[in-house]
Amino acid sequence: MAKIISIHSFRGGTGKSNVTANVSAQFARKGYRVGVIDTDIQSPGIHVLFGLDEEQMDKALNDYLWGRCAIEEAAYDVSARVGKGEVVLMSGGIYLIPSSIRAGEIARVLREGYDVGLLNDGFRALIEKLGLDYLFIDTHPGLNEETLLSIAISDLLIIILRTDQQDFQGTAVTVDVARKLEVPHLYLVINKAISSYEPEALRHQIEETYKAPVAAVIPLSEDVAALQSSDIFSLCYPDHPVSQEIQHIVALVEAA
Amino acid sequence: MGIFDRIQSEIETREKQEGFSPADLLALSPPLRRLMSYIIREGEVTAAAAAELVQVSPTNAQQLLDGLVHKGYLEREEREEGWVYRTRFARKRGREIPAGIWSALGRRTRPAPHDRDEGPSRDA
Ligand SMILES: Nc1ncnc2c1ncn2[C@@H]1O[C@H](COP(=O)(O)OP(=O)(O)OP(=O)(O)O)[C@@H](O)[C@H]1O
Ligand SMILES: [Mg+2]
Repeated sequence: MAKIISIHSFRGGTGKSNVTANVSAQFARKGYRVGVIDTDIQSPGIHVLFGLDEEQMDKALNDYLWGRCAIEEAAYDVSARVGKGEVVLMSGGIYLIPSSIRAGEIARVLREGYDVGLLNDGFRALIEKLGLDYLFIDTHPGLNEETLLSIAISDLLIIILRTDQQDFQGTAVTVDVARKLEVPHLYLVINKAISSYEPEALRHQIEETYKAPVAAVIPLSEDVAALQSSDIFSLCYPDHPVSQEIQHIVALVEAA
Repeated sequence: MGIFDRIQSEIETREKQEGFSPADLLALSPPLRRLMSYIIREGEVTAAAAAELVQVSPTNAQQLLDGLVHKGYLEREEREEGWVYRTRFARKRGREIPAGIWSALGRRTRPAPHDRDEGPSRDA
């Protein structure tokens, strides 16, 4: 049966889209059929990591939510675009359902809202129509309708936090919500960990604080920043410490 | 009180509403939340499936589901196999963008005396 994995953080800019793109690409590389949906309707971004730009985006999640197309029509096979086409050579395939980057489309969703039931049906339709093994949901930071829905339907939730006091507080809120919604598997990922923390000590401290397992401690990396979300880091630099942490997440998700 | 009576009375005390929002899950008791989450995840359920989840008889499960239909949380449809229940989601509401926002932004760069009488949001 297909698994739904949501990637969330209470605050913005923690690395949700980067982690989602990397983990999902690694699953495709292993031969799984993977879907990635950008539910960050108000500030979409993950399409950039998959090399999809506005002109190539004929249809988006927005079109589905307005009843203009079936959700699978807004799915793009991006396997040939990432990591110099490496994924397509080895694998099952990776499909991206982007959110529109057009100002008018974003404004319309903000102004008019949308049919939440349609979004929920869309997740299941994607799994069925594309024959997915995994559906990854990239989310908007904070708690709103889409994020609560995605948490409620997830088999596995990854909450990302940085070593920042604001993240620490917000994460407590999200962990609490995930517990209430009885998500079967909950993992924390520490991203942009500064080098003055010893990774194991940090992991231990975070696990104690939230009573939840830490799947990875990803260092703050100039190399990641330098790639500027223009490709999938772990495909480009498989031996980099950041990529090794991504592999820890992949192993835990696969075992769940 | 058994599980059926507990969920039943919780449903009775809840306000009728125009559809269910994912945020409503947080306000429910664990057993009712589990039931609503299950229906959201599955897309649609029969009374038999709900009965198994909640551990009540199919007749009691149907009563609970019908109670949720009455409150506007679910909708039901008759099929060959019997009644099938789905979440009736509330539409995500659009945001009121404060009426004066564009002119307020404009005011930072140049005076715009004409938007004086634009409405209450301005001096709020
Ligand atoms: N480990 C890291 N080291 C350095 N920079 C990183 C790291 N992880 C992510 N970044 C950078 O941080 C920025 C934000 O990353 P990303 O877009 O993945 O975050 P996000 O949580 O999806 O943001 P948003 O909340 O806006 O959706 C990007 O510029 C990315 O390159
Ligand atoms: Mg993002």
